[in-house]
Amino acid sequence: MNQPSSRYLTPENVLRLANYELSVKTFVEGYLAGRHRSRQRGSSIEFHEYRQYTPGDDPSMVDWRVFARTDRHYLKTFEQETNLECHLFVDSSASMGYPDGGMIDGGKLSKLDYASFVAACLAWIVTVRNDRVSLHLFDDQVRKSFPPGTTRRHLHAMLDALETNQPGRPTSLPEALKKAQPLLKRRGTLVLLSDFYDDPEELFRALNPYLHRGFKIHLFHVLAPGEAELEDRGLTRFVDMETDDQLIVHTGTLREAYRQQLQDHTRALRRLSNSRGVDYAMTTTAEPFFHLLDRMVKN
Amino acid sequence: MLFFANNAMLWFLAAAAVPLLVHLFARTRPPSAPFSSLRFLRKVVSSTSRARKPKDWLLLFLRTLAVLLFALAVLQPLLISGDGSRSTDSHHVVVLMDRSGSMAASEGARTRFRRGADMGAELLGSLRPASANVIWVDAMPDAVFPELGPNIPFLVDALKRTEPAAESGKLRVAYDQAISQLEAVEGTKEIILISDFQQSAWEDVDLPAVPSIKVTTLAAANGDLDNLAVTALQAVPSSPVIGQQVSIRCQVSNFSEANRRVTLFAEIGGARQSISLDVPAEGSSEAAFPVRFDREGQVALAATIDEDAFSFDDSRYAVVEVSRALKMVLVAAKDSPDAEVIERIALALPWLDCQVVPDLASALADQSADYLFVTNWTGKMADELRARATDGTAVICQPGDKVSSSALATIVGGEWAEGEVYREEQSPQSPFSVRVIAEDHPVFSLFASGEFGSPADARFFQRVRLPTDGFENLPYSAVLNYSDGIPALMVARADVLPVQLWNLPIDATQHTWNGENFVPFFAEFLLNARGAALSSSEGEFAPGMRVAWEPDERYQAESLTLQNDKGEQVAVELVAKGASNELVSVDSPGPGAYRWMSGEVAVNRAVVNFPGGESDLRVLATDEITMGEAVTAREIDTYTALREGVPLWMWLIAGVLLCLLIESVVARWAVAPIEKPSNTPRAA
Repeated sequence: MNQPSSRYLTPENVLRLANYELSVKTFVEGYLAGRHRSRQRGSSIEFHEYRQYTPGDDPSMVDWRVFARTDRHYLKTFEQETNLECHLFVDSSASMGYPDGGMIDGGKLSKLDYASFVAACLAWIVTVRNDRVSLHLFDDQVRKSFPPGTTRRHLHAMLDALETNQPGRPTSLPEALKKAQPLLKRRGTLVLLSDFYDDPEELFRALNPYLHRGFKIHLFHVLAPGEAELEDRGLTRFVDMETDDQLIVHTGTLREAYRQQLQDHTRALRRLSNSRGVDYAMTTTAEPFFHLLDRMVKN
Repeated sequence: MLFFANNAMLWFLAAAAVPLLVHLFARTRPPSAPFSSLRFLRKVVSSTSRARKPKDWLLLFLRTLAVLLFALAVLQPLLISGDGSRSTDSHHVVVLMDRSGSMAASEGARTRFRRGADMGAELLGSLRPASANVIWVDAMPDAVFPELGPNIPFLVDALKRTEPAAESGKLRVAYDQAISQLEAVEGTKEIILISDFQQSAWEDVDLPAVPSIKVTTLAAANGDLDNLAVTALQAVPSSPVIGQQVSIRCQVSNFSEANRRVTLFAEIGGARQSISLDVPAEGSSEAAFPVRFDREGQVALAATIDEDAFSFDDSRYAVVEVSRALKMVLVAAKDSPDAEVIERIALALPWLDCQVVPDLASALADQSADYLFVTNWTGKMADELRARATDGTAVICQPGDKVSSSALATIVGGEWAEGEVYREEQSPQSPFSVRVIAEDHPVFSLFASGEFGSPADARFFQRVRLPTDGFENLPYSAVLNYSDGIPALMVARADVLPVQLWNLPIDATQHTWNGENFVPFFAEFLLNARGAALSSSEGEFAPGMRVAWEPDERYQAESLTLQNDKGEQVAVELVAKGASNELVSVDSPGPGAYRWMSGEVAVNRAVVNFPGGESDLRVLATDEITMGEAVTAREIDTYTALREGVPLWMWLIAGVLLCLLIESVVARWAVAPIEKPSNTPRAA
């Protein structure tokens, strides 16, 4: 497969992503075993190989006939077939354009850039395994949507869309999720990349239909360092990037309360995620995004 | 009141407005910054605005206060008491310094006077008035300067050098002197009155306030002091004759709230006697030492008690002039029966010299008389007779039939009811008789044994009828009355003047008295008539007065010296007094007995006693001192500091630092977070 090159999928990233190819079993685990061939080992009708028993293997997989003949334990393994479908939701609201991360192309890395990097990498990982990946760019509605696909053309189209994507209107993730629901025909893995400036309860009410359909959901909470920790810049007139509202505050006096407020918000997200079996991770644009991929691998 | 030493920097106070201006204008153009979402910030602002607004105002207040305090510190403020009249070019002060006897009382290591003088010196030093003076409040108030002067150090030195005097203080004289000196100058005027505010001396003092003159009182006493004092010493009679029974009476007063027992020593002409006395609390006891003198001349008396904390009044001195004979001037016609009888009695009594003068005016002109016996008094010159009695002469009046009730009232000093006064005569068959009314009167003590018969054992054929109505209101005792109640012999009570009324006939043909009982009765009457005269001691000088003596021609004035009771010489000077010279001590000597010496012989004596009023060392409480602004000894440091001005800049700087410290604490004070979910799990 030719290596694609995009703003958000650089050759260096691709080279590094190669290590993730064999480690995404949970990531793309399908809902119908045997529907698609998979290199995952497991129970199926297609014989794969014999291999010697090692402690920890399922005893039911021991081939007792071979044992009878050879007096050794061998496991009979089969190739497993799975369905593969990953849906990437990238928040493209105005707040995601907050530039406070590292540098990219001579400019500051925004949260949208960061989310786009993650989405591009995940799309690439899924695609190279011939699994299906979809991409949805949204703010208060779904602005652009790519249905699940496995081809390189599909990948390139998604990468192009990410490159040309610009932060736009105010966020309404629950609204966007409601509108995206008809677009996702099959259950699979749902990855949401957002700054989650929404009410956590409302967000999870919007996610409930997906959970009921059996989607495995990952919430990646992306914040800029300046959001995670309010910079003490004295008396400042803050302008809301989504609504253009203005607020004059003395950052020095509010830092602690702001930190507490943000912490309460993330706690609420984490609490609701844990209660519904949703994976939740918070990161800042100052951190390498690969740790999110590592996190998925571990899960 | 605040006084700014650095007035030129008053404009600096405007700096206090800087924080307010910064606060107002800093909010108008804060730097603008895009932010992803104001959602959390709005929540924080809405939840903390209630706490933050007071905090903002508190910070503004603290910052403004810090700048204001700093600006005030730059002005070098001084805290000054009262009306803010700090030492200026127009402030004039007179210090009235009490140096009376009670100021010599010691309280701790210092006397009241020393403490008061130190207070005055300190106050003068701190006030630094344009001019000042010190007037001593003593028996003869005088000032250090003849008028207010600018030499404050000299006055301070005078206060430190001077000692209290054993004298009474004439406050009113000193106060008037201070007023007159202050009225001669322009500006703010102040009298600083330093005294122990002795209760007995100050209770009734009412000094007139002068609106333009501020009065400050400094109490030099810390509190009451207990004291015992010999407050009286006298001989009764005060001028005895040789061989006469004399009672030396000593009075000891207790100025404390506890009963005291004290040993009293009496030194009478070199002989020493003692007696133990119980003196009640806040009262006095008297002791009498009987004595007879066997030679004429001056006899020194001294009464002493055990020395106590205030020793100046533990002794008292007196001089008794013992005469060979007493002189009676009899106003009667020459060769009259009355004169004849009295002259015969005088011949019988070795201690009595009698001189008969025909008219009352001549009798009054003789100042040397111890007795003035006016027979057949017509009521003339009643005032002069009374004045003579005031001077210590025993005046005996025999009313005549022409005396008026008003003349009688004048002579006895009371209201005597109007009534007819006329002479009554009785035949030998029905004479007047008398009876003793007051048997315990000293006149009759000699007759108690019966050896000398009875004075009432006689009949009288003539008398003057005196009105009896209202007699009980007179300060007199009737010792002998006629049988019908008409007074026959009226003796004045001991506390009034010795004018006696003799309403008995003297002419031998008018009574049946014989020599055996009449002469002793007349002699006892004369002696007791003088006994009632409580005249001052011979040669006694008031404290604060200079001791003086005008020697007669027997002595050469230049050769005479004055010695105190320790044999030390007292400086004297010769002062011309009319045609003669008078020897006067240069200074007023303190309490003690003094002798005028001609060579080794004492030719005259003088005594000076501690003023009795100064022995009561109890003082007025601060709130009882109604004059001016009262300052106690304990408050003087603070008062002086306030008058001088307490610099406040270091306190203001400390206030600035405190404000900044609080400001930093308040600025770091975290605004209370919004309500947290109670069951939020801790973030992984």
